[in-house]
Amino acid sequence: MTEKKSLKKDPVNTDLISESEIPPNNDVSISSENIDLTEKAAVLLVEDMVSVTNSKVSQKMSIDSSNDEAKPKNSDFRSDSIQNASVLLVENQPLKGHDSKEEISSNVPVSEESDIKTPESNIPSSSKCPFPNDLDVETKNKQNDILINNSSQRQDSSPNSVLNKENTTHQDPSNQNLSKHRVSNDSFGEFEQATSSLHGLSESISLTRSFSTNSEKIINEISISRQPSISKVQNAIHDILNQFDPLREGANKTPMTGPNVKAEFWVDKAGFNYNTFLTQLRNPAAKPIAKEIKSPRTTDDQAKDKVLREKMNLFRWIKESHLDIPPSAHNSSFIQFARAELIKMNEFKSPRDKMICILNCCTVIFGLLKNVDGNVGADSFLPLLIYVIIVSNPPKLVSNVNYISRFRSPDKLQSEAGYYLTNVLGAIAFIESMDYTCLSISKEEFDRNIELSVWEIESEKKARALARSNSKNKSNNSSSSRGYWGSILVDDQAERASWLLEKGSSIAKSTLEKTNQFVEKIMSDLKTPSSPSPPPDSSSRTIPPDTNQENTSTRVLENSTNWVSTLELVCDMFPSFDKDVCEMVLQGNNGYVTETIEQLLEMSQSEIHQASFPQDLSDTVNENSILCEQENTNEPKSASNVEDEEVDDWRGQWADDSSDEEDLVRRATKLSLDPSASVHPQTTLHPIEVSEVPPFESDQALEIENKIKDVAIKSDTKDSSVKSNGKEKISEEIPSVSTPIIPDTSNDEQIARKLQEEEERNSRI
Amino acid sequence: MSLANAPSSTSERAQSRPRPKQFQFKLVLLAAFLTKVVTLENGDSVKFEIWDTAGQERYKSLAPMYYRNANCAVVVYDITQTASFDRAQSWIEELKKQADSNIIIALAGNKTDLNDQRTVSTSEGQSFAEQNNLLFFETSAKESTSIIDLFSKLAQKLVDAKSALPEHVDPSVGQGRSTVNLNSANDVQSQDACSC
Repeated sequence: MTEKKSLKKDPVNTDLISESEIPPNNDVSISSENIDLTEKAAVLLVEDMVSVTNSKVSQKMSIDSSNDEAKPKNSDFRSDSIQNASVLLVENQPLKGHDSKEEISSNVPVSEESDIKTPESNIPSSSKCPFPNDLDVETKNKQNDILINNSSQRQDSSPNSVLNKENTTHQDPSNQNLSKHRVSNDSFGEFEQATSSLHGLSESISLTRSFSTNSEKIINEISISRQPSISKVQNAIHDILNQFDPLREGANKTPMTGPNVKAEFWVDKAGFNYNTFLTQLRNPAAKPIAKEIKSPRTTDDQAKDKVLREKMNLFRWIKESHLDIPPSAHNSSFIQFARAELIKMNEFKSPRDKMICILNCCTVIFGLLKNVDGNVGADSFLPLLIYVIIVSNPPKLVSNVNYISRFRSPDKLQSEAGYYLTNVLGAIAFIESMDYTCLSISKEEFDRNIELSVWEIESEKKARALARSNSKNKSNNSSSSRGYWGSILVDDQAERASWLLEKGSSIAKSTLEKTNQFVEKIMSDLKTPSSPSPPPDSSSRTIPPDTNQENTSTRVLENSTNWVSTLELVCDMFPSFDKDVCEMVLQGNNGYVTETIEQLLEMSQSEIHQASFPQDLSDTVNENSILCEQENTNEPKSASNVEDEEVDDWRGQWADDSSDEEDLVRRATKLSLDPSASVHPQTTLHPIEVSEVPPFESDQALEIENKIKDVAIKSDTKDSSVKSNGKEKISEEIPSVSTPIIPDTSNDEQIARKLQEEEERNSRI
Repeated sequence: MSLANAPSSTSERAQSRPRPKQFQFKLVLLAAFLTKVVTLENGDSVKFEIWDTAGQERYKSLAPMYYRNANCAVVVYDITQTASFDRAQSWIEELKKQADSNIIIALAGNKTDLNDQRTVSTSEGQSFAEQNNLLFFETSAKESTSIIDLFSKLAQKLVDAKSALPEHVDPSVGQGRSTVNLNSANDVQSQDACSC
């Protein structure tokens, strides 16, 4: 302990502290074989995350080449996370110090020191850590753990009793650094479980930053050749997460229990499973990482996203006939269905979930093709896919698709998935290079249409600018052109954006230009879980008429006005079915169009099945009778219960990739059709999260987004001691965001009541 | 498992003629993408992943995306249409230029059941195939003529080409989906899972 104290006064240390004020200092000397792998993972995993969380990490690191383990001998880093609440300063072999089992070959004196400037009150607010969704307790634990691991024997301020207790354990003179963590594992195993991941990551961050000089090269390599680098990345991630996660072994001793599991960014040392790891990116805790992995800043994905989106915007006038898609009466319903799947893709995190969205979209398109003319070749499929993509104009499509092809295991991109992904890639390439020669259209008409949409886009921009000035003047009430919802959302968005950024109008402007899409997005999000389409903000918009129609929701509950039209729609889509049958199925599905279509599709398939294999007739009949029984029960609860169970079952299997692919797709369809499941469970808690996908494009905007989410969660975790002014202010804003959504839920209840009444009436009949 | 269940036909034809009922059943399961496991005499099995590509001229620039990782390609023409034979030739040239240099290409003259309307003679196709070192078959997707042979031969050639052992696949994966899909543009891409 005396040694530590003296070390603390060491001039080198002071140097480091002052040095850390300077922007990231990347002094690297690497000569170990492992480093190559390590840096890749680091780049991928953490480097971008560092910037997302806005934390400033500066470190100086030199790695001894003689050390086979590639352990840094001297590593200093200072990490200021968002709130600058805590500063960790580790000197001299933190890894070695933590490693309880591995033998240390070199005799460098082990000493650690940390300068903890975290005031007590700031500890609960430690959700500034890269895991924005952590529960309060967990974040506390994490904070504690950082203190444990990095501060070891000496602490200037001991924020709470737990820490003190831990410190006493560590300060036991008989325990040198080597045994320290074993002790702490025994005593505070649970804490460490919850926190080891953060610990590992924070170290990774520091390490990674020092490798950033090479990051571009690596990213390039990764994006150029998918297959070889995937394995490298796997190895790299494996390496880094284990090598720099010294508590892993200790944590493995105790089984994972309790809520801590949820926040765990878990990588098993022995059996690292790349797929599982990626599946875990779906975890809300990994949101910032996932976001950055999705469209790495070092690639041009984001630019491509933007270009493609604008191009599709320019081609908004396109009709089926331009792509020689045979006209049919029921195209639009199916296409909306497929469209919803595509748009939803951006909301999922893991490559697998995104892939499932594509699968679902393609399945729906094939369903349409089957229903129209039975011709399911690529000749009719690809044009329709292109059309659906243009019509839906999904946000960040290029990023998402590249993300899938980079990170979905190549094994899983075989067969159907691979085919569909290739088709989507093909469609994107087609759209990117699309001109009048690619379409069945004359040059004159093409030019005219393009001019028209340019004009439309211009006037939309003007309208948005107008709305912005309106909102800035606080003339919410008068901005009736966009309707109540529109004005509130626009206003709120503007306020948040401008306030949060504090970077002047330029970024806020670009954000606001997206507001229209943002509003649309929210509308479509709102309409997904509930039936009544929110008041369409139509009057001032010059978007072609069908855009508003599309807002009328794919999912219509049976209320007096919608019921008839829904029924007609369904009957229209399935001319082969009796109207009564359609009605029955619709009732059986509580008026949910999506489920109804799904079921009718299944039924139509089983009919064909029946026709071709008479010996299977009895089975099919049984199936159908079961179906009918379900429909006739007239108990909405039972149906929904089944659905819930399925969803739960499905959720339980997130990490299970081994299930049969076909089954998987089918279940995924179910999942994606379930309104509550289309949003992540965590996100449903926070109204703001439902609207989480404003089409921000700039990096700063991404950061805002993260911050907003961060705050949204924080406001929920009873964390009253948020000291940071900024955060406080934002969290005050949260209620104003949630207000517009609340009436909607009550609306939902009304509809649910209506629905039940309707059901009862039907059963009486 | 037999390709007898697996006829297909070009789109025009599919509409003008009644199909076997089994084919309808297949249609429910299949799409533009198919899987077919071919078991060789020595017990090795090769799983074909058959990708259909859009054949229209405007999508021709996208074709490389589809055959980029393909191990073999089946180019199909219609023996009743000389134009389709011409296009098949241009496809083969493109494949030779752009695709993987080890790609195995098979040329198939389809619709032998319409022999009376034939406009491309067997010898024409045969000689073109020989010049370009292609596998050549005349098939009838409708009557499932020669399709088994075609894919067995392809599988054999693949196994020969790759000294590596082919992937053994659970046959159940392929069952029920085994079918050959052709399209009106006379181009079918096959992707073989064993060496991807």
